[in-house]
Amino acid sequence: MNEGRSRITQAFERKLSRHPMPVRLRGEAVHRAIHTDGHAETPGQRWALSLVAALLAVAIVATLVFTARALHPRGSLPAGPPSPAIPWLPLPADLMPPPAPSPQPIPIPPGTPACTADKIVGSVVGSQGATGHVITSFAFAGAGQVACFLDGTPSVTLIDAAGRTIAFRPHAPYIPPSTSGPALVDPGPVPEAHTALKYGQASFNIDWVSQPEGCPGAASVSVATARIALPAGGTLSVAVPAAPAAYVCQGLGVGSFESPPAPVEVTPAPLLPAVTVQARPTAAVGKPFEYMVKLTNDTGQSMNLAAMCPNYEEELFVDIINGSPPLGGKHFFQLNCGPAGTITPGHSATFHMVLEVPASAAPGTYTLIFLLGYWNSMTKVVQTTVKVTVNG
Amino acid sequence: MVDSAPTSEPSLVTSARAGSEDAFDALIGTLIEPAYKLAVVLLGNSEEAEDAVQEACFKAWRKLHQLHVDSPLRPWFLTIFANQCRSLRRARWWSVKRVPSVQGTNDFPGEWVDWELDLDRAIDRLPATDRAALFLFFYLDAPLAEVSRILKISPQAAKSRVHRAVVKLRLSMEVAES
Repeated sequence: MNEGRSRITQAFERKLSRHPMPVRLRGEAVHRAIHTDGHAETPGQRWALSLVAALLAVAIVATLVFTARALHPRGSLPAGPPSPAIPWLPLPADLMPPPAPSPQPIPIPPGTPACTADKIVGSVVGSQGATGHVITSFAFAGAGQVACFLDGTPSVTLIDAAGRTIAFRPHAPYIPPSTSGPALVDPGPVPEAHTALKYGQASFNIDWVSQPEGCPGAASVSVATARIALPAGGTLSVAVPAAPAAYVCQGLGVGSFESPPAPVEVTPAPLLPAVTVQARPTAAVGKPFEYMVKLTNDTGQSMNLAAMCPNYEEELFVDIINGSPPLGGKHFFQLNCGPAGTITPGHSATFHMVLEVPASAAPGTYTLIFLLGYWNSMTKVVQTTVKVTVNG
Repeated sequence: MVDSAPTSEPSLVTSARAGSEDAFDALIGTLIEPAYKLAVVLLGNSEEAEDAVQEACFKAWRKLHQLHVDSPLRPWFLTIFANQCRSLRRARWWSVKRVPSVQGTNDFPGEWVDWELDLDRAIDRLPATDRAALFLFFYLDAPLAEVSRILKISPQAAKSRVHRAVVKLRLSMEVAES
């Protein structure tokens, strides 16, 4: 792995050496970012202005709602009575995303027979070197009219150019296969060298050592042919192109059959509802601070929170503009989703929230930040200002 | 009496938010080189990489108020930066140079190969997202959690992407004719 890491790092260095970064870029980028902004305010002031803009927007919306209610008789608006808030529970958040499915081989259709030597053709499709090992890859396609499968590890005998068997002892394969289980072999032409394996082709690797250090005084031998005995019966002879010679005392590794892994798609996180926070403007040092979080399904599809429950993070920042640290670190919880059930499009659920204001908190103006997301990815952020006093 | 310049990251963030160019340079300046390199890996073009750096710096300045003072800066900036590169790649979809598929050949060269060239070509053939995952994980030595955040995928998917990219490299490495 370290060898591979080093090679990959060196490859990136070669690529980057062809595109060196201009020395001027750092100064220019920073300077232009600030001086082409075209706004007089600093980022800190911008946040404050954003908050003012948000408050103005809320005020405008409130005015519009008030006007609408004045114009329409009570009951003609679609809004129903407010639903009771869902109580808060200190549910621990599970921040670990679900594991991505591991690569799986292409499924084998029921009734597919195991491949015997007369049903398939094979060839060497590539050879590579790594840390003194020569790794040769064989690939197979079906020679008949029907598919078959290869499973397990073949028995491989290597022959030199004079037809003599090379007496290797076995060793563990240098590169383990990326998939396990039966590998499908569809009818098709002999696999071509230097091309990636196609679906419906199976492969396996062998490896030998090409460095003499481990076999002092021994002569190397050149491999000319591989005789591959299949688990289901029969032996294939495949010519092996010229490659660095082998030192037999180091042994021969034979991998098991594998197929190109079936495509794996990572399931995206479900959509999140819109979030609004209602909080009293004051809180007390050392006492629970209660506030409400309203989740509104603003999408076109139902959200089953009971089945897929988001986490939230709440923080009280002393002063977001001046960069004081949040009180008591980060606080992650899972919403009390059970009572919420499914939120249908256009509807909401309100959650009662409780935040413990530390007894060590200094009185002052804080920013309550509420973040909602799945697993550890908090993508919805709402913030409001709270004044913390000694008596609340 | 001379005030000492802030040096800790939270202090620098505070000063930068207040409009200090020096503080913003101290914060973002050190990230410009890795960002530029990431852009070269993603976009393969020096001029576009420079444009991406310029634009990402501008966005970082505009979004500085969204940065939590206790959040690590590098993943935050590189996330903005990777978004910018993605936008650039989407915008130029029509001009993306098509790389011909690897042509198979049945005659095996008789001599050993230049593995460096093979590896370089194999990396160039990878999708940009795979290249980015390899670059972040191997070259920048970023932990998988950071890779996942920058690429906007789960940590498990980041691990899987790095693994798959290495497997693809291994599969696509061809023996070059000398």
